[in-house]
Amino acid sequence: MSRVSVIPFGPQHSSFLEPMNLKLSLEEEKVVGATINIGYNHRGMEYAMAQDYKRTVFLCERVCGICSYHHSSAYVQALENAFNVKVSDRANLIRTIMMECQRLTSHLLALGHTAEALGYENLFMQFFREREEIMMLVNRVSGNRVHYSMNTIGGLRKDVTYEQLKDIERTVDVMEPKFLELQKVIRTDSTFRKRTMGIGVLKRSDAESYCVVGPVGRGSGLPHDVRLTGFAGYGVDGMKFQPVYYEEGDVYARNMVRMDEVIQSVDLIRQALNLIRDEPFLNPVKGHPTAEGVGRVEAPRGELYYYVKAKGEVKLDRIKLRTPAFVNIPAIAAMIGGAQLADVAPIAVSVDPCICCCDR
Amino acid sequence: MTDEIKSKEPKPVNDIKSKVDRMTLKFPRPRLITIIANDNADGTFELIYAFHYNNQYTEVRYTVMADDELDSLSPYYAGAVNMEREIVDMMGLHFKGIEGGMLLTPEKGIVTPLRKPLKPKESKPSLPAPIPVQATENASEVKP
Repeated sequence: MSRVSVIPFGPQHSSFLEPMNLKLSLEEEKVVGATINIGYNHRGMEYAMAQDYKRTVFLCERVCGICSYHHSSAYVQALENAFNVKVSDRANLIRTIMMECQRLTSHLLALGHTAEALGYENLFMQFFREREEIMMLVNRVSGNRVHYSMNTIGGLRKDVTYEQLKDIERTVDVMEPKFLELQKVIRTDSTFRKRTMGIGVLKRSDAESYCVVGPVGRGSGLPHDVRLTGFAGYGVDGMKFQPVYYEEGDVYARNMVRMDEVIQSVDLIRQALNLIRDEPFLNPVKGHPTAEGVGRVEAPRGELYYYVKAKGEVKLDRIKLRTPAFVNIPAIAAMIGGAQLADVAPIAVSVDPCICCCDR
Repeated sequence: MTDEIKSKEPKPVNDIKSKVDRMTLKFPRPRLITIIANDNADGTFELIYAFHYNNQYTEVRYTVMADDELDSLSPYYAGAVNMEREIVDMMGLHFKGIEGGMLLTPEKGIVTPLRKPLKPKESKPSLPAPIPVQATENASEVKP
C-alpha cells in the first residue's frame, strides 16, 4: 500500500487568478482525494447590497469584474419583477447585445487562461488579443471596459446611438473570422487535444448531483440554459437560440462549449441588432417596491440567480445572490479524482473558477 | 419573465426530502438552484428552496424555528452542502451533519451577520396617559 501525502494547492498559485485552496491527497503523482476551501475573498456583499436598492445597481456590478453586466441585469430583473414594470424591447435587446459582448470577453479569457495552464503561451496571447478588441468595443459603447453601468430599474440609463450599433455590427463582422480561426486551432491542435481529452471527466450524474450550471453542465451533457426561458431580449419575437452542449464531460468538452458559444454570441448579437426598433429605452418607476422578485440570467459561467425581498423603503429586507461559480467550484472535487498532479491546474481552470463571485 | 413563482404559502414542517421524492415521481429530478434563509426577526426563519423543475422555476417554502435541526439535502444533491454551510455561517441555522466555517471563521470573527435583532413584542394598547396641565403664572408676559 503506497503512502498518501496531502499537499496544498493554493490559495496563492500561479494557475489561479484569485485565492482558492485545494488540499490534494496524493498517491505518488495520482490524486486520490481533494478538499476545496473557499472564503478568502468574502466581502459581505449581501449585507451591503441590502442597504440601498438604488445604489445596489452599481454595487452589484462590483461583485465580479468579468460578468459585471450580468450581475446588474439579474438584479434589475429581480427588482423589475418586484415593481411589476415592463421593459421595452429596445432596452431588452440592448441588454442582450451587451450581455453577449461580455460573454465573448469572459469566454475568451477562460479559453486563454486554459491555454496558459496547459503551457500554451502563444495561444493564450492570441485569445487575449481578440478579447482586447471586444473590450475596446464595449468601452466605445458604454464608456467603460469592465463595469458598464448601463442598467437601471425599468430599462437603460442612456440610449445607444445608431452609430454605436453600426460600430458593434462592424466589429463583430471583423472578429468572426478570427474567432473561427481560433476555433479551428483548438479543434485540431494535437497538443491541446492530448492535454484536454479524457482529462477531468465530470459524469452527467455527478453534474446533476453538484447542480452545476453553464459550460460545465453543458460540457457534461446537460442542455440547460436560462436563455431558453426568454429573459431580456432572448424572448423577443425573431430571436432564435439553441444551447450548445457536449456529452464527454472532460476539459476539452467544457472548452469547446465556450468556443462554440463565442461563435453563437456573434450570431445572437447580429439577430438582436436586426430586431432593434426606435422605442423608449426607459420605463421609469416610482416609489419603493414592496414585493419579492427573482432575476435569473445566463452569465458566462452559468445561471446567475438574484432574489430580492423589498419592504417599501430604500433598505431591502433581504437580497440573495447565487453565482454560477458557487455551484461549479465544488464539482472540481469530482473531476480530479484519479487525475495526475500535472493535470490539476487545467482541470481547475476549465471550470472557470471565479472566486470573487463565489465568495461575494 | 416567463417563469412563475409557485407554492407561495410557507409550510410548517421541513419535509423537503419527501417533497423532492414526490417531485421526482412525475418528471426528472429537479435541479436545485439555491436555498435562501430569511430572518423574520421574531425567532422564526423562512427557508426557500428554489428549483428548476419541469422547465419552470419552482419554490418550496418552510417556516422554521432558529434552534430546529433541519434535514440536509446533501444526500440528494452534493451541491447542497455549500448552500447549507453558507446558511449556517450567515444565519446560524442547524442542518443535520453540516458544519459552518466556509465563508466565516466563527471562533475568530463575526458570527451570523445576516440575523436581525428581534422585534419587540406588541403589547396591548393602553389608555393614553393624562397630559399634565402646567399653570402658566406669567402668561401675560409671553410675547409672540
